[in-house]
Amino acid sequence: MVFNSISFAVFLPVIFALYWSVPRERLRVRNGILLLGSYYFYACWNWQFLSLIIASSLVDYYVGNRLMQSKEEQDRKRWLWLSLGFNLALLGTFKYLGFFAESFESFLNLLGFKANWVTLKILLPVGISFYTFQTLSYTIDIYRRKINAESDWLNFFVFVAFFPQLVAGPIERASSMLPQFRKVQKFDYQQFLSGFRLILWGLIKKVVIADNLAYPVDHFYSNPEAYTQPEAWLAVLAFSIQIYGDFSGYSDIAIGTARLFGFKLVDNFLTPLQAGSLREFWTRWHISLMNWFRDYIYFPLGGSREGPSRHARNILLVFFISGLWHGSNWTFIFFGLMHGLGYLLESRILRKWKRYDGWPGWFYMYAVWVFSLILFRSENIRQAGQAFLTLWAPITDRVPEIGGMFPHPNIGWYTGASMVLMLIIDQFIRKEEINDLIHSKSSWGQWGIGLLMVLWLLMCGRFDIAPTFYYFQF
Amino acid sequence: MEQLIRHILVVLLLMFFVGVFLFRVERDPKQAYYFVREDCYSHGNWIQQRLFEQSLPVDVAFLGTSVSIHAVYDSLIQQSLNSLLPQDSALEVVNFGYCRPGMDLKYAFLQDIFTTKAPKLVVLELPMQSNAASHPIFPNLAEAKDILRPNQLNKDYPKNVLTAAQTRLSWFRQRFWKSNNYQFYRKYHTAYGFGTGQLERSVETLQEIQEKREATTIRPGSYQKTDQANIRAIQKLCTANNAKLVIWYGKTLGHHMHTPDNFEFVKDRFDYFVPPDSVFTNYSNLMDEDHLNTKGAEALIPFFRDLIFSSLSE
Repeated sequence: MVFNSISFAVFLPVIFALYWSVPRERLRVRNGILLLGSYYFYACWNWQFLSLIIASSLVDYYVGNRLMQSKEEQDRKRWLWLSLGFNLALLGTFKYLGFFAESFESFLNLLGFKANWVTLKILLPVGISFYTFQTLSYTIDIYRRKINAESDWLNFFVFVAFFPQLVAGPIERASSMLPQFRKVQKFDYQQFLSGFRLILWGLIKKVVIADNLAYPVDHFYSNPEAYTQPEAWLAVLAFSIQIYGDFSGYSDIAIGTARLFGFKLVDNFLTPLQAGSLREFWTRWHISLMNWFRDYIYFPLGGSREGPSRHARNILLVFFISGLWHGSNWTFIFFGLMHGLGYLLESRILRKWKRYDGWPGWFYMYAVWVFSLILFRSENIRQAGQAFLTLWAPITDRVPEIGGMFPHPNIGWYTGASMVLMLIIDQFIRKEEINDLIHSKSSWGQWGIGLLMVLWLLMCGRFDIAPTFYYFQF
Repeated sequence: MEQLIRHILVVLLLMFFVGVFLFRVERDPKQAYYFVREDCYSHGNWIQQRLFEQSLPVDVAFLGTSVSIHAVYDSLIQQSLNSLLPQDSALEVVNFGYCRPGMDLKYAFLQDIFTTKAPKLVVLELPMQSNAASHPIFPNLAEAKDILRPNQLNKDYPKNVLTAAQTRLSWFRQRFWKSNNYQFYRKYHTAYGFGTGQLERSVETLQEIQEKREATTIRPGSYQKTDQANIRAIQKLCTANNAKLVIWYGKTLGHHMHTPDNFEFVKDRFDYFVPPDSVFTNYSNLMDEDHLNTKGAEALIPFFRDLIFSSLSE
C-alpha cells in the first residue's frame, strides 16, 4: 500500500475515523488502532516480513528494559550488543548478504580462482533500513542514559511500526515520539488542515514533478549511449529534481499524515536545493538520516575534535556508510565517497576563498549533487560511466529530441512549468513549510489555493504507472 | 470536529460534481482504444482500426474471449462460406475475440461494431462456466451510460466507476493539453482476428488436467445473473440493428462434457451451437488445456460455416 494509491486513500480515512471516534480516556485503544492499522499497512506489502518488525520490536523492548535494570557496565554493554547484533544481522542478511557474496565471488574470479556460488536472491523487506535504525537509536540512547526505557509495550510497538513513517522515514527518535504516544492527542482542526495541505503538496511533488520527470530519466538510463549530449544533460538534471520531488514529497505526505492524528514528525527536507554549500546541503537533505549518522557514528568516532586526519577519516567513513545504507551496490558506495571527498574539498580548500559563500558555493553543491546522482541512478558502474561520457560526447548532426523523451512534447512543457513553479514556491518556503504560505490567507483564499492544488495534481499528475516511491527500494 | 464534518461534506459535493463532469466527457473511440493499446497483444488497437479506419464491411461478427481468438479461423471460414454463396453475395467474417472473460466488454465492442458496420449475424461465445463479472478494460472502453447502468451492479461496480472516472480524466487531459499521440501500435506480430497457435503443453500434462477436470463436479458460477443480463442487452442491441444473435459454447479440455452455465437460459431463447467433443479431446488440436491450436481451429471451420449458412438462410 503506497501513499499515492487508491487503497491508501481508502485506508487513511478509515483509520482516521476509528482513531478519533475513540474517547480520549481510552488512550490504549487509540494506540491499539494505530498499531493494528500499521501492521495491516505493512502486511499489504508483504505479510511475511511483518514478523521481522515484530521481532525487532520484541528484542529492543526487552533489551531496553534490561538496560534500565542492569547496573553493571559490562552487563549493559552486553545487552546493547545484543540489540546491535540482532538489528544489524537483520539488515545485513536481507540487504547485504547477496551483494557481499557476489562481490567476494567477483574478487576471487579476478584473482584467478573459479568461484561459482549460488546467487543469493534475497527479497528486501520494505522499510528495513528505516525501522532498524529507529530501534537502534532507542537502545543506544538508553545505554547512554539519555532516555528511560518505555515500560508500556504498546507505546513502544506503535513507535516502531507507526505507519506514516514506517517504510521510508523520517527516522524518528524515541525521545520525541514516545512522549507523544503516552499523551492523549486532542483533535485540532487547524492541525488537521495543515496535515492535509502538506499531503497535497507532497502528492504534487511526487505525482506531478517526480513521476513526469521520470520519462526522460528512464529513457536515458535504459541506454545512455543512444542519446545526444543535450538529451543526456536534460536527463541528468531532471533526475536531480525527480529524486528531490519523490523523496521530499514522500516525507511531506508522511509528516502530513502523522499530523492528521495529532503527531509531530521531524522535518526531513528543508529546501535542500537552495543550500549555499555542500555542507549546508547535508543539513537540509534527508535530515533524520544524517542526524542519525552524526549522533551514532560521527560524534562517537570523535567528530572534528581529534585533528584533521581523524576528521577526514570520520567524514569519509560516515559518507561511505551513508552510501552503503542506500543499497547494496558499488554505485551507492562510490556515491557516498564522492560526497565525502567533495565535503572535504569544500571544507579544506574552497571555503578559504572569501567569495565562496553565495553563488559559487551553490554551484559547487549542485555540481557535486548532479554528478554523484549519475552513480546513484545507474544500475552499475559501467552504466554510470556510459552516462557520464555521454554528457561530454561530441555534438553530432543528430538533432536532439528533447520533446521526444516525453510521450508528447506538451507533457514536457507542463512538467517543466510545474517544476519551475515548485522551485519558485520552494524559494518562498525556504526553511518553513507550505502551510506557512497558506494559513495566513482568508478562508476563501485557503479554499481557492487548495482547489488550485487539486486541479494542478489532477491535470498534470502522472497516473499511468504503478504507484511507488524511489526510496522504498532502500 | 463539526467544522471538519461540514468541510468533508463540501469536499464530497465537489467530488460529486467533478464525477458528473468526467462522466460527461465525450467518448472518442480512437482515444478509448488507444488507451488500452498495451492490452491483449494490442488487439484493441487492431479492433479500432478495423472498425473506424477500414472501409471493409463486417457481415458476421464473432465475439468472445481468447477461446474465440484461437478457435475462429475467420479468413478460412469466410473462404469456405463464400464458396457456397453466389459471388456477389460474398460475406466478410471477422473474429473480434479478446483476451479474458467479461460479457460486458462484448456489449461494448458490439456497440462500436454497429456504429460503423452492419453485421447480419453476431456469433457470441459463452464460456462453460460463468467466471467473472466484469472485464478489466470494460470501464476504459465502454460508454458512460453502459458503465453506470443498473444491470452492471455487481462486486466490480465501484471499481468500474472509479476506473471509468480515471480514464475520462486522462481523456480530458489529453484533449486539454493536446497531447494525443495516436499511432497504429503493433507491438506483437500476431495474426489479428484469428490467433495461430501450436501445442504448448506436454501430452502428460494435458492428460493430467483432463482427468482432474472430468472428475470435478462443476458448481454453477456465481455470475450467471450478470451474464444473463448482459446477454439480454446484447440481444436487444442486435434486434435494434437487424442482426441475428447465435450462441456457441467455447468448450475446453476436461470441461467439454459438463453442462455449461446459463444453458437453460440460452436453449429456450437463442439458436446455439455446441462444438463436438472430439475436437477438444484430440490433443493434436490443442494449444493448451483452454485453447485450440491452428489445426483445431481448422477442424471447426465446417461447423462454423454451416452455422452461419443456416442462420442467415432462415
